[in-house]
Amino acid sequence: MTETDVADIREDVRWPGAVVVGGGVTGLLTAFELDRRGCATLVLERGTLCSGQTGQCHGWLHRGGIFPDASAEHVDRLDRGARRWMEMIAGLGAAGPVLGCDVGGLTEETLDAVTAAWQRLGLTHRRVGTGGAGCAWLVESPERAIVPLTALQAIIAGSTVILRTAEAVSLLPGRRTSRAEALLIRAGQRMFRLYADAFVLANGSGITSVLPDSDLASRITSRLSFMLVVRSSQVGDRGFAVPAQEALGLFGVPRADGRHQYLLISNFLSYALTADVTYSRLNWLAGIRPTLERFLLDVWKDDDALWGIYPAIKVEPTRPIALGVSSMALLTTRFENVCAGVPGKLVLAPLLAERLADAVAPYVRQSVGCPPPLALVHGLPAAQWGPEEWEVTPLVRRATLFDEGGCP
Amino acid sequence: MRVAIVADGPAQAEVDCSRNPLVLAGGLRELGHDVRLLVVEDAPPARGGTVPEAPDPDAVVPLAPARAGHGLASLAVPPDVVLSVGLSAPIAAAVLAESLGVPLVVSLPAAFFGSCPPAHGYGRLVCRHLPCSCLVVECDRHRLAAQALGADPHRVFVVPPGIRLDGYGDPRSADADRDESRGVAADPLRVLFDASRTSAEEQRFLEGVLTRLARERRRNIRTVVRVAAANGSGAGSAAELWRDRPDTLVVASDDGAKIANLFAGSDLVVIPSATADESVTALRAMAAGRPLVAADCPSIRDVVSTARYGVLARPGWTDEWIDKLDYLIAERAVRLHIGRSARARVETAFSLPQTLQQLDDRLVAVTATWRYDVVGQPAMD
Repeated sequence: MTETDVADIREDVRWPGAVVVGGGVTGLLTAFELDRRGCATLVLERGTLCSGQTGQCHGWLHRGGIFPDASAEHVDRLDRGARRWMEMIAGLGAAGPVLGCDVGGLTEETLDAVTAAWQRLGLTHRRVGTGGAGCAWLVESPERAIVPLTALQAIIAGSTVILRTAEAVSLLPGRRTSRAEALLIRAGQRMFRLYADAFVLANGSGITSVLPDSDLASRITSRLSFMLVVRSSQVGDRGFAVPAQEALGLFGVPRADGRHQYLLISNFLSYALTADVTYSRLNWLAGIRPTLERFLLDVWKDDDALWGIYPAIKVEPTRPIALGVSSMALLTTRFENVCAGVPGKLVLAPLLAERLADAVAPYVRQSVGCPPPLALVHGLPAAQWGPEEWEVTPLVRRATLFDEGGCP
Repeated sequence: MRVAIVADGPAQAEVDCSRNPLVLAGGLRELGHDVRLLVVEDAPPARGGTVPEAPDPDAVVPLAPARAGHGLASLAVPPDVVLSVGLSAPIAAAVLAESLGVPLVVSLPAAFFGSCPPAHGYGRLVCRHLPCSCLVVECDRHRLAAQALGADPHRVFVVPPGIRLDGYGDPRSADADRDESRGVAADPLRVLFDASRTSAEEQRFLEGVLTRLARERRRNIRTVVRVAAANGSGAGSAAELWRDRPDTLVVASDDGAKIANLFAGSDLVVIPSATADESVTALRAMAAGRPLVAADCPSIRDVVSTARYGVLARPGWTDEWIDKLDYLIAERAVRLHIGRSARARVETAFSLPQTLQQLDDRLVAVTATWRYDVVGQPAMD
């Protein structure tokens, strides 16, 4: 068997439009944006849709108030992203799950710092007492949270975007070296050469393995954090946050599965991706425990509550100093019809999607009236949605998770 | 392409996995290669104390490492490449490849990086000093370890182990109906434990966990314990340990199809061992689309990389094992989610055709870039 023979077993698929690699929030919103502009769009996801970083996040749409060192530029950008999300969700009719959020804290200085960002944006908030145990003040904030999977499902349902399961392997240059001609993909045990007009790489940490220019990989970085999952009858139906100044940015966003109420809890503590996960997890649990005991006492004291933890990888643009809010990264490659990006924050994904669509749309032919026939991609299995990470996280008693019984 | 595989000896326990040289040889033949399998005579004996019979005895040639060059005589036509498979095989394979003037590919087994690796000097000899064209390892962790032993980073390639999926069918189609009835009094949930490699101490730990699970959480489960039929290390102790439990069935089987049936017929698989390499057991559970609760150790993490493919629990932490098993037993949706994701993962990353194709690509690339020049000095492009 020769190299030519190996190549021959790969099948060719020709897609008359754009191909988006990654079925997370960036990929799906970019596909939605391209679809809105009349481009036939195919999304490829190697696992299930919204199962990577998107399925790990709690869905808080930050507007800058919780970040003590957010610059005016950051706050404006976050606000634009949040407004775009709300427009998209409002456009769905049945508004989908948008959760109201409260912000609490201890000192008036923190309250002033938090509300200054909202006041600057002309957003209103309402003081609602002390919020029970832990908080000296609590406000009903203008910030909102969403369930990304549900919201994206509803957004994509109204489009002609095609969703398929496949893993991107590498880009293949065309005769004109300035453009990529095809994408080598793997679906199950079959390899395909997927020809298309343009390609968007929106597969988070997987971008670096497909990027044609290795130096671009240094422009994005990943860090490791964790998310606590709590199943408890004490969980309410509103999100809750304590700013970074007082609790390392404690966030709690509720979820429900019809039978139980869950709370996803995170904070700003994160680790280098090269750190040992086991020790990082122990360190993280030790770090978040005092804030749980102080600010989420009802849940903490619930003897029937079950607790779980999962690692949450966060892909962001590389920053010389990690101050302020992470921004988005748009990576233009040596192929003019290939663009990549990471949003840094969920709230920025619609803005990034617009820019990615702007970058590749000129190279994509317009589909005339009807979408391309599904037969073109019959060899690729349809992509499935979810579940989110908390749904597959095993839950244990609090004493087990926090090693309260000691080492065996 | 003609391939000579030099192996320690076919591993009996892994009849459905690419780690078994017989499976590997058969797979490469199906891809159109002419494969000769040479077994190193004084290699450590395979599990059970004997080298099992090959399905095609004519294709297996005994090879003594000290006289590996004499193995030439058994090869009517010289191979295009020599592939070493196993812990002891690399030296004999290197002598053979050098004698023939053909490239050598060394596939380093998981045992090379396991809890009882070979002596450091042997590791350096194989990874750094052996004249091989490339080293093939099973995962990134092994790649880094090989590099730490002095391997040239540009010549270490990852080819994950592959498992035969034929026997498992497509678990997704039958899952929903079958799973619905489980957990009620008449039809308890079936928990499968493969004891064929597990030490007696780890088995006692699991037995304690299951006893407490039944007593404290009142879970209606039936434990199926699989032991190796052919005098496996865990067989004697397992039968004794589990004999008196009324809710336990001990099954002795080494047959690939029967093993697949055992996994497919279970609802949950437990792997309490952190000392033995249980990655093939984990792959079988994933191939069957069954969720697993496994000891959190490197060899399992290589396969079960996220909670979506299986649940990991710290070895020895009884409460954690009980809580996690209890949660999985109670939550059918979680079991289904994990089982489906695991099956998809095996299909895309750990299936036998996938492994064979990747290995084939590697062998083709090596022979295409290998040149034996006229003066007799090997050279690489």
